[in-house]
Amino acid sequence: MSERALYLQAAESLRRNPGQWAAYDSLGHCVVLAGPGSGKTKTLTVKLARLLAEDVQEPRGVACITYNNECARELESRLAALGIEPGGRVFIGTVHSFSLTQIVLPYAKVAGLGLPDEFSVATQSERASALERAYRSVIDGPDNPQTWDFRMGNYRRAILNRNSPQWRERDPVLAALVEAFEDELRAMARIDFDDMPLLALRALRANEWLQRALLAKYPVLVVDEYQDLGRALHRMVLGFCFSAGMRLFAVGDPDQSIYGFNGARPDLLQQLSRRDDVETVHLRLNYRCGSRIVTGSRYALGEDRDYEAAEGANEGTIHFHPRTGNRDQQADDLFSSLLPDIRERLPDLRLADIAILYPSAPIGDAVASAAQNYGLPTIRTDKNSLYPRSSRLMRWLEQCAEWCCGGWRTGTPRFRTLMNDGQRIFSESLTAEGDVLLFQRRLLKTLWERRDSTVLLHWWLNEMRREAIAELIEGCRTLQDEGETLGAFIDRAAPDGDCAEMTLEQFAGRSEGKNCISLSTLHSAKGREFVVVIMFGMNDGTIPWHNQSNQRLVEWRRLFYVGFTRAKQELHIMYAANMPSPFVKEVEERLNADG
Amino acid sequence: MYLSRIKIENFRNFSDLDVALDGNIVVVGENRVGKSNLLYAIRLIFDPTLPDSARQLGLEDFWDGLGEPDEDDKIVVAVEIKDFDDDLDILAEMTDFRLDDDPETVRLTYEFRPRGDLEGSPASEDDYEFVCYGGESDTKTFGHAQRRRITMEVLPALRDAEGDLATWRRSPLRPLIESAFRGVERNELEEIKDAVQAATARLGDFEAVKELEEKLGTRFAEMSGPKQDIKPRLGFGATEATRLYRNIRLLIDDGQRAINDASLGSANIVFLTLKSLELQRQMNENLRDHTLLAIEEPEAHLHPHLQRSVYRDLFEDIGESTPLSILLTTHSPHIASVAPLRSLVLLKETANDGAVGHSTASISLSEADEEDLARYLDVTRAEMMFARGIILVEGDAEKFLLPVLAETIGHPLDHAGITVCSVAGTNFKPYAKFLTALDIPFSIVTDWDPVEGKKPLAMNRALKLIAAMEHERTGEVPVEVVNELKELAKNANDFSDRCENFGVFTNTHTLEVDLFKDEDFTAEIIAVLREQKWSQERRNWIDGWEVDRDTLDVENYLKLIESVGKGRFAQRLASRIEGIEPPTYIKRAIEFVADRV
Repeated sequence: MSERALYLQAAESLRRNPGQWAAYDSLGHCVVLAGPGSGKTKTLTVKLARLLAEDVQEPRGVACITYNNECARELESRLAALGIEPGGRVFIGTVHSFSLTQIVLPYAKVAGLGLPDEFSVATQSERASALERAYRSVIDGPDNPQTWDFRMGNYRRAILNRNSPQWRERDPVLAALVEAFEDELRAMARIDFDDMPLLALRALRANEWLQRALLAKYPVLVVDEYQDLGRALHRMVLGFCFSAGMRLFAVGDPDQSIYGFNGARPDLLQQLSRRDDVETVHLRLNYRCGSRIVTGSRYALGEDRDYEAAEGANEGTIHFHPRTGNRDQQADDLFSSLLPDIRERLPDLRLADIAILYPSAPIGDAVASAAQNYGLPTIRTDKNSLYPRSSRLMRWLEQCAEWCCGGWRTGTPRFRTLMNDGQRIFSESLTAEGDVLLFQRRLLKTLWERRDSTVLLHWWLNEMRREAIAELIEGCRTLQDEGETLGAFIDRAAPDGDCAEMTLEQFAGRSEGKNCISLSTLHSAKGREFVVVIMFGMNDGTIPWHNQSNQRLVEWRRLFYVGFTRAKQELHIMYAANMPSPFVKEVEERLNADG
Repeated sequence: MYLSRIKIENFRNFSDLDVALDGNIVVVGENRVGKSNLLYAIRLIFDPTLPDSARQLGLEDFWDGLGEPDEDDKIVVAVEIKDFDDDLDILAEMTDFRLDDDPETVRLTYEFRPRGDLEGSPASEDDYEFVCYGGESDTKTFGHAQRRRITMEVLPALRDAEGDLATWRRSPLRPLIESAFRGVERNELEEIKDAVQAATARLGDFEAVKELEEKLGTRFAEMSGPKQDIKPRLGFGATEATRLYRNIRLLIDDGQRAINDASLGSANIVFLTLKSLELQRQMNENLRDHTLLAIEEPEAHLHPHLQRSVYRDLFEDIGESTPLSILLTTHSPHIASVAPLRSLVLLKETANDGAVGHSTASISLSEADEEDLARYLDVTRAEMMFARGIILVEGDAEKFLLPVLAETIGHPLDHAGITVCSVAGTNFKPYAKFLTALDIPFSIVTDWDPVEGKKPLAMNRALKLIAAMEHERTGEVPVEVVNELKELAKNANDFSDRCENFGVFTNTHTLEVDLFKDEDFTAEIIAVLREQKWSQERRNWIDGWEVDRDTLDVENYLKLIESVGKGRFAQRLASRIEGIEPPTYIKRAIEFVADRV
């Protein structure tokens, strides 16, 4: 079937939903306010396909910016299903990778950014040492310099224009620290992640032609998860779309804005939607959650929204589980009584359909070790996971491992997919004629000769790194940090590390689609859905913390709401009987009042 | 967008060519100077039909003067492009390739160089690789995707326009017809099909035709046997509706005759017509964004007046309405004469540095000067472009006299390839700038033109001319030279001696007066004047001047010449002065150029 037919067919399923259809049919700037489970990603991908087929002609393309690499991967695979391969005319990536690959790398010199030749992206340890030196020279106090990192980041994101008087006046010490820190990085020929959008903005501000160059490449800008993207992107969007002439298609949900600590500003999307030259579309039907969960979610959020469950949705159930005992006992309880009950009630339930969500990674440790006691396979997606789930390199290696563990027989995954993903990850190193072919040969040879699911992971990773990818990582300025992540994980898999026993098969089992229970923080669960969700540790003082400002309280509540709306069929809320979270109490009371 | 510069290093007969461009390029130069190599160098960057195997050059493609290439030697072709941001499609393709220090300029580079992983000196062709990249980093590669949109087409020198037109597959008519027929409804074609079938059937009504067809069929069947019988028929073409359009032929003379009957010249024009329509179609259908159309020796098979009208149209009308750059290599002064003034690139062989090039792209000219020059080149059929040296003079008098005088001193002008060009007045500046830019050796012969009580006109004229020439040559305002000349102007002799170093030669009055005062010419001039019928008073003037040369009344003398006509006077005089040594300033002006060609 042709690409065209694929998206036209997919579009038919949007027709029944007036909001989705309006978004699909929009001609000018369009903001889509999409509630949980409202089919926003589907709407967005089909719209993207339509833009590429009908509105944007070769050689121009569409840039699609999203919150993190996970979201980008999700969009990529959905687009692939519509016959659209990223690369070429389509950019899909984060604000950081957009800033870096579309503005900073190609134009660093000509835009006068004053960066050192051959700069690359700093690894965590390089950042830490730069901060250490900057702290010594500017403040030289008794603190651990790394404790300043968070405030420094906020300050950099808060005041975008360094030439404004504000920059120096609001907090002179922080301003000096940031500048010293950036100078230290530059002296090492490095930039860091926060630099990327800032440098891009500076380049755009100083070079009028640059906006037009971006307009030429991308006449349409698509932004997903707008509420989480912060002011630097918002500033770029205003320039691109409301002065240079790009067309905007922005999707998001201010109610799900939970990254305030990273500079997210839910009001920016609302500002956009109030503009006269923007068409605003609401997606209010929830296709994910049972109707009772949809009702409960209104109470969880504490705001009046007109969301309703889509026609034909199941009823859905919400269960409250007040518990006594400490955290470990409660975690044990989860696996000894709660989970068996659920599995008895839903005999067809796969482990992958279950998620246990908790407010922070340390709580996850308790859940993870309890799961281990009961011999249940889990996959963690918080910061205490074996390695960050956002690492494209690690995710790719998981796929390679799966291929080696028998995937080569059935083409799951296909070698071509491994090659395409690898090519994208290492694109910076694969420039010369023949590089790609050489990479393909090496990759195939390395994988082919190591098709044994029982080998120790440490050996396999070491071989893989040495034979196939070490040189490539070396040549990619954007991949240094992930190279470090890989190194750290290989150390953990070494004979004296905590994962010494791990086999290739276990590693491969971590890749997507495997039958494991998901353990995740509420934050990392965003955008995902599960048949059964168990919210664990919903205690007062944990969610929210005590003594929070009103603004912070609202964000805590949104976080609770995000977790709440992940469930399709059964939602379980576990908390300490003597100190339930006020959010839990309110939901319970209001549901009881409904009867 | 337009090409603003080309640089070629170590390629064939170019050691280091670096020429400013202004979009269209008209390459002139003598045979074997490398005009085709210049086009081929540009093809290495832009031509999508050139396979990679052709981009992988050979050792024989290195510049001959280089000897054995070592590990530092590479072949480089680089073009720079400006004004690439008007069209957003072009901007999208080009924006990444800006120069580090100049965002308004894009550069595309082809390099043939020793392989990156090679240790030591390259030993064979296998040790070389080619790379095409933009901007200043060879990691920003470009390839077919860009060549498809910003593309180059080459019409080679001895093309068989007639043959191409006659072959469906090669015909430039084919894509146009196919595109036109895409919009025609199938059922409407059915009607035509029926009509063709009806006409074919009527062929069979003629007894003789029918007989021939039957004979054909029988004979074929006999030879092939029944299983191989293809049932041959006579007709006006295949009658399947969807293939009907393939029978369409281009006809001439209101449909009376096929194109095959046209002259070679007409066929060439038809070919170009179709090609330009096809280019426009491809632009309109967003199949490409800019075309570099290269035509080698476009003068082939075209009469001079057709050369001018066809290419004037191509440059002016089509070039204006289509994103098109035209690249020509030509020997034809007729084509050079209609080329945009700033498109000219003159190639010249040097003794040690291979062929070098000079262009008119960046001459600084006022609008009026530019118009003058363009008109002049058109009228004189651009003979300046094809001369090895030029003597610029004020008018017809010098134009007629100088060749004879040059012959006398042993520098026959035609033989040396030197042309005398009259600028019809004293506005030498645009011509001098033009010739300086193209590095064509030239001298200027101009009258001293004394004015009673003031400085002679020639002083200011020469000063300004030399300043302009030096400015064009060095690219800087020649402050020192100007100050030196101003200082020298106190003494007329010192001043004019110095001017001669720059190729500006003056007399003491005007040509006719100076000649008269030269005793070798006096008698001949008197004789020419006497060929005319004059009043008694005027005959007396002439008699008096003959007796005593010094009594010449300049005003009356010039009055007589005016009434003969300056040109006519000079022509008559020219026929009489063979063998007479010319005045010194003319002699030096001729030698100045002759020494430099």
